[in-house]
Amino acid sequence: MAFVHTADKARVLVNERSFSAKLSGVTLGHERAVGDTTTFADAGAKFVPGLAGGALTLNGFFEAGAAVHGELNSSVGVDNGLLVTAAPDGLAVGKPAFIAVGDMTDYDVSASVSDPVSFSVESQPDDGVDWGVSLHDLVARTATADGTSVDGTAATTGGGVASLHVTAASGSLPTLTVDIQDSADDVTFVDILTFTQATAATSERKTVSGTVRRFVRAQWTIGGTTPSFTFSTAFARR
Amino acid sequence: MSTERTRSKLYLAAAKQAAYEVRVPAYRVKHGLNYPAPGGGPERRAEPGDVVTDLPMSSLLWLLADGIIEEVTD
Repeated sequence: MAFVHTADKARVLVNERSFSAKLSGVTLGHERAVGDTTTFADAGAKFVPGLAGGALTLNGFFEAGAAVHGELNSSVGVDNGLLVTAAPDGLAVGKPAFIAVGDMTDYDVSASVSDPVSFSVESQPDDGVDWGVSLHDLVARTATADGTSVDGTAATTGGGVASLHVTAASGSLPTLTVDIQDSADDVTFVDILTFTQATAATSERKTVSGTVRRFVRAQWTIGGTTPSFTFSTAFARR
Repeated sequence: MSTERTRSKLYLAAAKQAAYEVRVPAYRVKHGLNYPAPGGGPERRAEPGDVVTDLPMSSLLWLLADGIIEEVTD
């Protein structure tokens, strides 16, 4: 199946911000080091898989306010200061989503006579880049509910990684708790991971170990008076 | 009178036995979970420690096997 990049659908979330309207390019590179195990008895080189690594690059248009420069500048020097979820085909449930968290290594701003002021960011992700699916589009929710499940076709045993980006919160004493749940039969769903309760815009990445059953979904619990949360969450099996 | 009392006792004993035999199994939830309400309606939520009797029959096997729930025997 051809995977087509659609310029008006690609979405990129950086910490508690949506950078989709600020970026012109994103690269999430997954790498796997290999160890050379070639011996004198081998006719050709032999390798075994090593540690996961990767690279994260963002390219976009500079803005001096909090939404772009403020967010990036506050990530400089912060351990795992950049949590990025990129969805080349949008954040609808089930669409591919790539999750990376890392330390910013470069933040360059370029200005010239003829072009808009632009920026580029490079980051070194911890544990590489995880390839998963979106479990909740970036839309506002005002009440407790659960999302559509995504069929992974089989259970997996390597655990997983989830990201949560809450880009807006309103109401009186609003609270949001997002669970990632799995199921063997798409009927009963069990919590496998719970994000820290959110009361304002925030972001978080969490991991889970062990078996992840065939179906996964998001479930959210919203409290407060006239609460509203705009959030997106994604999950990647390992 | 004595016969009636004996019959009554027998009836109560039989009723208790019948109640025991049709007792709905109860399960203690060890991990938070959501499940559909019997007959439709809003989905139900059970937190760790809750005892429930209306879990979907189709899910019991894997929930027990994976240690998500345990049968309440006392």
